[in-house]
Amino acid sequence: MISISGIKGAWNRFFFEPESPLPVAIYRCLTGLIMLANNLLVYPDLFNFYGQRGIVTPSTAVNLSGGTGLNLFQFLPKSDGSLIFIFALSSLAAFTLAIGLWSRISALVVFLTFVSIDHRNPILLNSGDSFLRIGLFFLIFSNAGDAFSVDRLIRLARGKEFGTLPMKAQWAMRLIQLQLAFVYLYAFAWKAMGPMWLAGTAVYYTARLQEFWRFPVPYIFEHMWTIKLWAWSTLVIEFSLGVLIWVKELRYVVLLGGVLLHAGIDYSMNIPLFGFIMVSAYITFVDARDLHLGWERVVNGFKARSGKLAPVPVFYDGKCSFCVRSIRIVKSFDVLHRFVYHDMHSPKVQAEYKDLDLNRGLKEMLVKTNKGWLGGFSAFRYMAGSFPLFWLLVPFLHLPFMRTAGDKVYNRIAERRY
Amino acid sequence: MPEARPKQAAKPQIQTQKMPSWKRGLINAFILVHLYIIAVWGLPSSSFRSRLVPPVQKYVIWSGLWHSWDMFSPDPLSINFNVEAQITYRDGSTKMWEFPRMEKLGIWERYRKERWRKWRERVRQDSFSGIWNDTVKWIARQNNTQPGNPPTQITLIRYWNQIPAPAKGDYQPIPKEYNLKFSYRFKTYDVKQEDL
Repeated sequence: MISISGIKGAWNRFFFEPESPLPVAIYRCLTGLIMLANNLLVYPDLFNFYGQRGIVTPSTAVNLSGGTGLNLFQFLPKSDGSLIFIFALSSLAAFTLAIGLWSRISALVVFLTFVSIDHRNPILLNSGDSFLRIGLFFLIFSNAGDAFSVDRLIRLARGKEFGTLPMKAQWAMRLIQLQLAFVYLYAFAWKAMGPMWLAGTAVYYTARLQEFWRFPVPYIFEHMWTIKLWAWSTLVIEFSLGVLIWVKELRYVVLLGGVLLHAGIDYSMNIPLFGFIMVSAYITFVDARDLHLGWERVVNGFKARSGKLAPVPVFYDGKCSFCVRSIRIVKSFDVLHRFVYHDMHSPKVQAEYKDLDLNRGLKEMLVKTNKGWLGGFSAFRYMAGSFPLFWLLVPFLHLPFMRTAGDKVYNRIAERRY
Repeated sequence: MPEARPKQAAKPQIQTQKMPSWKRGLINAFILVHLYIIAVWGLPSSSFRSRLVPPVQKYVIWSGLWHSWDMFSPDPLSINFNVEAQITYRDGSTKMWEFPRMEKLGIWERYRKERWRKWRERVRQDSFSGIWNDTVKWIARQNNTQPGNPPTQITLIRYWNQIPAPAKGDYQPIPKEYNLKFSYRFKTYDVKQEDL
């Protein structure tokens, strides 16, 4: 027998137990990137799809199913200029959502602009758009800006947050998980009502719909036994993604099945972004500890291949709060764990590194490399080469005038740090 | 004497994020409403669903949270089709205009133009007759390229053919092309000056 307090406890544990924001933060990044890709695909046909004299006029759209409701166009002049404004706003907010700048506001703006555009012309939409819209809606209420974000860097810089990620109730992420599971459960239920799916011939027909053709279907799938296997596997995988995904021990196998299903659909059928939209949400089902473990394996593999096994020591002034906050930011970029960070005032550190120049260390951050000591801008430039996010910037940091300019900027900041 | 029952181990306390009770209450209400929407809106059509939807219908449609998960189901489409427009100009000449056909485009083009496929799919259906007038007017504008000789009439024609049922035997080769042998003129519109 289950008690009411038991149900209440399970509810609280499911929705309100503090958890890492990492999975939902990665989902936020991916959703922002998918929205940008969507806007890039739509851009060349923007006025044909949504313009005042497009394929569906605003007065017709309101009479269509899905054509009414929340719509920012109602508050703007009826012109194509309004469309450009909404579209530009959507793209800008998608970018800030991806990088995690003003994450909640960005999610809200992307949601509002996306809903408005969808309501403006609902005949162009598919199920992927629906899931994207719902995912964006729940992201507004999530803690997706707590990791992998510019928001976090700002909090670290202001000393409002320390090294570890804040553990909070991820109830909004739970709703995304539930929505994802119900998508597959109902997709299974719909198909289970279809004689073709039950007979195993459905995939025979989908593979012969010319309008969806993408890459040629391999010879092996031109046989009745593989066609039936594909159709029934689809049913099994969709049911599993709806139900068995909640069983901890089966979760990753089920997710792998989902990835393979979408990879197969994406290869053979031309349904842009649909697979990416669905699979990106799988990350919400991955345990943050497993994400860390997986990343550690990648990092260790990278280190082993590059031969850079020992971390490079970095020394900072631990008595300067600005320096401590800066090092926290630097650490957040050091995703390959290439450096180890030392407060130079620590007697243990001073005993271990006899050649540490304390006077120099009070003026600038120091890095001890194989080729000797680097300080200030040179130290930063050396470290940037090991930070993936900075890799595009590194060639510019090595331009001839950058050393002088970099030293000046670094010294100016260092002088004012107290 | 019966043995004393061992004391039950204390149940582990559930660690939940601390927040004011009014806030927790609001969040719980939000979760309940949206959980209901998630569970009810996507249900396959039935009288059961019809009874459950009305309480949230206005909110769901207004907010854009509507959805349907009936991809290629209950059964996938078993026909190939195409839609064309016959354009008649003022001088009596005619021209056929074809809606974008994905299978005739390159890999990148068909990826980029997929929403045109969706448009064609809708235009083909009688249930979307509400967009036919906009469709023919748009086609007229796109084809108003000859000075002094504007389009005067647009006729939409759909072509289709059934995909043959699986042949006997195991091997089922996919044809490179399908002939669309059936056709039907489903909309004729006399173009007005203000449409162009």
